[in-house]
Amino acid sequence: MSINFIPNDPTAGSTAPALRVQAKHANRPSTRADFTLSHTSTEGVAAPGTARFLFWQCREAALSAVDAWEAVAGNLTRWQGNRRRLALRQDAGVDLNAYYDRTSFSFFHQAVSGTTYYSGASTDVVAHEVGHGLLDSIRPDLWDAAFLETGAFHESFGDCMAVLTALNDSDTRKKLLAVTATLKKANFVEATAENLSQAIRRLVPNHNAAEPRHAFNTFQFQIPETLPANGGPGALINEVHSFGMIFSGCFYDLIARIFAGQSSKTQATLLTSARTAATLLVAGARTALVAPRFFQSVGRAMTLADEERNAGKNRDAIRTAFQQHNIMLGSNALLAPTALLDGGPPSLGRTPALKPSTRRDLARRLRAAPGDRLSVRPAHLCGGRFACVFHNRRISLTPVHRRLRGVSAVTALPVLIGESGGSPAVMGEMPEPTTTEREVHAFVDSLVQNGQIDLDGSTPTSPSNRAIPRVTHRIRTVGGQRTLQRVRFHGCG
Amino acid sequence: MAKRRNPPAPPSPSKRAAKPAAKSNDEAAFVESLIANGQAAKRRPDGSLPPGATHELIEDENGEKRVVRRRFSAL
Repeated sequence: MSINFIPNDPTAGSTAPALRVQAKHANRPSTRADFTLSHTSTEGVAAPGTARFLFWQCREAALSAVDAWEAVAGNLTRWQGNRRRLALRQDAGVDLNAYYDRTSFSFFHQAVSGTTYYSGASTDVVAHEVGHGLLDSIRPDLWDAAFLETGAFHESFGDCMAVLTALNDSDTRKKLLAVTATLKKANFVEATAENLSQAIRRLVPNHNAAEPRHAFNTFQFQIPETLPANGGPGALINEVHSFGMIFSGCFYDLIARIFAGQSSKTQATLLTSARTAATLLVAGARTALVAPRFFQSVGRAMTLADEERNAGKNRDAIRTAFQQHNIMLGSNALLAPTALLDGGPPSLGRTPALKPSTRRDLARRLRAAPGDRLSVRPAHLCGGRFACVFHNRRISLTPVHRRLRGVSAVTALPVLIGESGGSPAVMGEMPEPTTTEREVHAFVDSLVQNGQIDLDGSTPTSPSNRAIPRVTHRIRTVGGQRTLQRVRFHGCG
Repeated sequence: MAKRRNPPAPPSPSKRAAKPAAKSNDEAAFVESLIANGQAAKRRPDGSLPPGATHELIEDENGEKRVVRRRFSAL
């Protein structure tokens, strides 16, 4: 007995593999995680739009997604929460959507302009939802992580799983290479959920989801809240599904780059390329630290995974794929926006200036004390103009040594300010006050231990220092405050 | 990439009433995005979330609002 199956999406177009008759997937081994099926139908070739077709189509798509996962991540033995089975509901009612809620994967139907759309009939949509479940099985902490980028990564991961499920199918790979030998052209694999988007387009033509999401894109990273909350079909907006396209773009470009490096460009090497990229994606997803800039965090974790597994063979491909979407993974991360600041666009010309509200926000984040000075200087780095803000912070040295009671050190901490989406943003790392204080205390302690501070203005502290004067720092009164200052460097240890 | 979170910041007075409690600027921005896109909503009388909602908007006895993820969606 056989079934009817649509390997991609009912509206993927004439270049995609058409509805085909094939043998059904075997049931999963009892030792592995599985689905609980409902409203089952007898096996057989059934027409789209029938309950029988939908049951077998949804089952086949879900099992195909798990196959694609297991090919790179190993056997799936448990879902999140040690669950062995999750419900697969091919038609849970009326909606133009699909959901994963840790107990089930639910798909829906809705009639629009005389056509009934079934989200469970799209392998793209089913693979996307199963992708949420797969990621949740290895990173349950991402479920409720409170940053837009972690939510967007979850959505992107679902889209990446749809791409990988498609590329795990040999017929799909052959059809794709007939469309584009380099993958660098819009196609039915990189486009996700065309059928649902068509329904939405008919219902709400200007809805953002009226255009399918695309992994082949040129979207550039900017801090998400600088984007509008709404936008026309396919526009990049401050919304998790839309913003996830930036990461999907990085992943798709990585597949294309790895494929470009293959000596022969065949459907077999396309599969190898996709699996190499997928292995790195899963490894990166497993270990990336949760942070507001989570895309960058995953990209860096993928780079480390590549070092470990492939001796860094794909390092350049990963770096370039992310850089094409303005996500910096290497030393150029110094110039990547990490945190948005209050206020309007900064002036980044020859005499850079920050708006008062930007200064206030920055001072608050730096935990600047009243009276602390923030000086602004121009900075030109890698062809870009920035404002380098120096926070002159006074740090008490009383905890370091009893003879330093009432003495403080002043340190100038630089913060690079640029813009993201027209708003002021911290670029790269922001000095962390506690770390700064500890570093200063450790340094001054080493000066004390080595007799490099003239503590009372006369006597070296140890016999060796009497023999070889080593004083580099003295205590002076600056602005009415006893302040440790360097007076010289010396040439011998 | 900095792993630490930004220090807590009180929202501006104009936003204080509408914005649910959050820990940092990035978290608050995420919550605003969820609300703006109809992805955070209160449960309906039958206990279900409205279509498209992925997060439940919960208000405690002090009127403090927070969002809790209940599911992921395709769109």
